Amino acid sequence: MGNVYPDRMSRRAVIVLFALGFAALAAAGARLFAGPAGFEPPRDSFEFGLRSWRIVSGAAVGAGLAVAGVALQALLRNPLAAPAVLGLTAGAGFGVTLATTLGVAGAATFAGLTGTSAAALLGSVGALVIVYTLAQRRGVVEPVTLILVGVIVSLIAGAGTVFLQHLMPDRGLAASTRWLFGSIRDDTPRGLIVIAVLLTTLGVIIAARLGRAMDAASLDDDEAVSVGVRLHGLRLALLALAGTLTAASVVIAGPIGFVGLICPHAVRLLAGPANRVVVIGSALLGAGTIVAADTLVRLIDLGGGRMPIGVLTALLGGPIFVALLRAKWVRL
Amino acid sequence: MTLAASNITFAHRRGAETLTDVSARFEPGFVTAIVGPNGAGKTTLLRLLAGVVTAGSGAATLDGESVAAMPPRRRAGRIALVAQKPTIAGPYTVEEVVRIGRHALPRDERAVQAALDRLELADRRGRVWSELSAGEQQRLAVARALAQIGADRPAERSPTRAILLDEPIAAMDPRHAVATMTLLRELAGAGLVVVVVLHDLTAALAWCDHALVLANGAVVAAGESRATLRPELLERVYGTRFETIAAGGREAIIAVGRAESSRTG
Repeated sequence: MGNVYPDRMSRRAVIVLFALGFAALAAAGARLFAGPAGFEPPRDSFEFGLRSWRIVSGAAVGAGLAVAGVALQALLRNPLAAPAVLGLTAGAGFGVTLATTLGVAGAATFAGLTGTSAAALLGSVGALVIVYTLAQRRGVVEPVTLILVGVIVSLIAGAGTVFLQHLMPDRGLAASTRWLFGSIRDDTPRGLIVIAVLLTTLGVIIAARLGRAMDAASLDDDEAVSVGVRLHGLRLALLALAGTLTAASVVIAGPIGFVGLICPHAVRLLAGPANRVVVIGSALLGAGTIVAADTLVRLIDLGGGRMPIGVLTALLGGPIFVALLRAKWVRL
Repeated sequence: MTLAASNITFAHRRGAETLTDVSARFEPGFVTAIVGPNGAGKTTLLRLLAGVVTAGSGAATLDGESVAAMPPRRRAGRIALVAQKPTIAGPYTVEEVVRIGRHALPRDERAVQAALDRLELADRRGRVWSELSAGEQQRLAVARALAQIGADRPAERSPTRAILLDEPIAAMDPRHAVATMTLLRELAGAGLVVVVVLHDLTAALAWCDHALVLANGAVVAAGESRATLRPELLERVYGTRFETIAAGGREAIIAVGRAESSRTG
């Protein structure tokens, strides 16, 4: 029952944030030196550039997913909320599979978007629009309805994806299945990465600024309004934020699971529930996690080429999540 | 210098609880109980007074100013609501929960400390709220509300402030119930407007200065609680028979059985 003074809390948070930042930098360093023959410095500026862009896009994807998870867990007051519950990733998967079926996945479209990333963007934004439309009543988002609608849209989009795959000849099936597990690719248009990085940076800043409001919104609805939270506006902002961050990361890397679910919990476990700290910490941890995962899939070659990152995060993230669950963090 | 409801009419979108032409005044220095059968509109009236919902017609006002039209920041500093079963999503510590009361307001560690001291939670400040007992959690919600309106500041140098509580003693054992009602009396004594929804009519009679009786969304009676909470009136309102008994210098009021006729249903 030791006394916890306000400045001691913040000191603990600062230490955690510095440690996570350091870990993210270490992951970036490791990725820069991870080559086909183990750790070795990049041989030329081309390889240096290639690896740097992978680090940047991986960091944006991880930070975006993790902060989207924080926003959704606050919005839905549910510790199990993650980007996938909004149906955005399933929507993107359906979009990509549809594009593959129609044979437009390889087509170059506008603004450097490939057919695949354009389809992912349309799929995830389409899912967000459907979920929002069904989960709001006169512009007011109802958390429970939002979860239900998100899960249902996910299931329908998932079924649609399997249906399309069922119709596909083998080549398309392999390509779209590979996409459905998410990975960082070398051929992602750099303009797209720049846009995703800008959106993610902006999203993390906005989320951090909404941190205190998210804390207050953890109260019962009526009490939250009573302490001065503009609850409807906050929920819309969090939904738009989570939607944008998820869409940006899905377009770059496809669906990558568990990062958005686990990072917020891990940071909460280390630094406490104050959302400003959780946002910044999750951004650092998410970025570090994806970059580290990309390093691992580069170093581990099981003969079939690089494993999709989404497989790694799910295989490692699932057990970690169960361990956290069994340990102590589920305290509501 | 009052919190008032003026001719409030309110209908829920789903048609659950409604209020029809409800008027009432709540003065600083007094504890007012809102009583009435389930679904009478007690919680709805409390939410309207707190500015959490807006009346269809009529208005809740604080010192003549519409509560619903107040900027959230200013309203937060003057009216605090304690919900029926206060919870908070996340492993926040006792101190963090109390500090959340100051969310929209200037940082005020003295108000936070005073609230923790007043509710005897200072030695629990670092504990996660969900580890507290049910009674302590209720006290924590009250502490949060006190920090919110800066209840440590003297009334004569502050505008009218109110604390509204929805059935705060429903889940409490008698000792904590008495402690809570005593605290509400102290807060009124310090110059706050105190409005409390109660199901326990004896508590309303014993601890509250005034009582407002609601039935079917309308005010049936209002006034000093001893004069208002009479068995005849309560029988009409609740549709069951009541008797009062004297005990320990106080009056207890108990439901004793079926009404001979139920006129209000």
